[in-house]
Amino acid sequence: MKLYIAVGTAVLLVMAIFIIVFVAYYQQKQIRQQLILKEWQEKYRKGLLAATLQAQEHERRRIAQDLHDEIGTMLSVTKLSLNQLGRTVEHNDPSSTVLVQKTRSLLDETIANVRRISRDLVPTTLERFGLVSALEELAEKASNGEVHVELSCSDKLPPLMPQLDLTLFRIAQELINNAIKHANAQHIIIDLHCQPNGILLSVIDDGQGFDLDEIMKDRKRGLGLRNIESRLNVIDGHVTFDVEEGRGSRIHIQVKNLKPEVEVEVEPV
Amino acid sequence: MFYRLYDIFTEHPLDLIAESISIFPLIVGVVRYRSLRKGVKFLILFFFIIIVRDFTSNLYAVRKVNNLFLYNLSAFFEVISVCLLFRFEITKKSTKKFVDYGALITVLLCVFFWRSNELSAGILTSSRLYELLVVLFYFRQLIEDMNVKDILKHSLFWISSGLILQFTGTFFVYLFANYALSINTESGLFNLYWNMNQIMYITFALFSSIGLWVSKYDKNNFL
Repeated sequence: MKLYIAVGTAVLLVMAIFIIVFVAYYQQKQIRQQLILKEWQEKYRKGLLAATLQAQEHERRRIAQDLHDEIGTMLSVTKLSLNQLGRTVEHNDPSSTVLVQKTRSLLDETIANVRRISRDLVPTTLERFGLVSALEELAEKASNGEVHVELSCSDKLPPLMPQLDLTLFRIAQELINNAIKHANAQHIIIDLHCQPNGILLSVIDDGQGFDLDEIMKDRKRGLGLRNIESRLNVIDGHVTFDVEEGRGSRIHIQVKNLKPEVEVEVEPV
Repeated sequence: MFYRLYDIFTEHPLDLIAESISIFPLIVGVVRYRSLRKGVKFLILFFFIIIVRDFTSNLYAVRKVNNLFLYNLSAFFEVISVCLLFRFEITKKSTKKFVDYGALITVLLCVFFWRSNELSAGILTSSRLYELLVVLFYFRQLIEDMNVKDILKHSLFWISSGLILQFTGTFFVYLFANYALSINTESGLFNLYWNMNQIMYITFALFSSIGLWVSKYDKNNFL
């Protein structure tokens, strides 16, 4: 009996130890694989997002080019023809001169609009002179009699990667647009500052604010904010919304100026 | 009285270690109480019951009164504690039902096998069998769910490991308790099996202490 108990206990103990070691080893191995898979999925998702953004930029570029090269050229030719027609009409039918002048001014306006849309689609200043100049231009364009957009920027901004430049510019564009269009802001400050290993972009306005949770819950709204998050996701950036209904908003964007996992190709203009 | 107690502990030094070591998980449990998972909190109660049992058992031993029924009685509490410990952690409904009904059936079996003047093989074996199955079900859930990031920082893994080691290490001794731990057993043989039982308990108490200590990681250790 003594032997039976000893052998039985030894066998059971060995089995118990085996079970414990097996559970610990197998579980750890599986979880490691799961984590690797998740990491890959995350990387793939980021890649997909980056590709979507890249395609978006390509499309913007193509439309801008088409507008500039085809419609712009056609409008210029039309203007030339109209000028010729105007001169002929001036001699033969002076009463139609007003109509020609009106058409010419409409044509001028259309050419200017096409040029503006084309420029808005592709931030040429950003690619030629960098983020600060592009933001200066953006602030200048957005400012009018009612709205004043101010840019505050640290003197020594390190050279940023093109992808980071474009992301920050697009985000600033979106936030300023939101502040003017939805928050009815009158004074907007774009604050661009350098941090150790990164950049901090803040857009502060004195508008009427908004309820972030409500907007994020509604799928039809908050597309711009979601777009900001998606853009930042690709470059491992971070957004903080200091917002509330009834008061001005403070939105802070933090990005690292490091080589990202997923690179987005930025074509020169 | 103390002289008699001193005699008992000199004769069975492992008893002193085993009885003292119960305080260890109790203290760790109280220190880590805030980070303990709902089920694990019952482990503190379990060790408290063990301490009360050992204290009472020593009192009986000093007065030379048979105290073996206390170990039969503590098996009831062990079954209930293990049931409460795991029922909050097990997610599968059918397994949860097994844990609940299994505890009920085991308690009924314990009543059926009740012995007031000797260790009952029926009570001790059935309670160990139930506890062993519950721990194995929990291990299966761990492998199936794969939701624990670092198993070595998971409190219930350590507690379950301690339990399984204690159950398997004492299963055969309790199965043949009528031979190994009866009042008619030769003193040397009784001491051998009793010491083995105490060693397995010390192992369980140490594993439980580790489990209670690492419970602070539990909150962020799930996927």
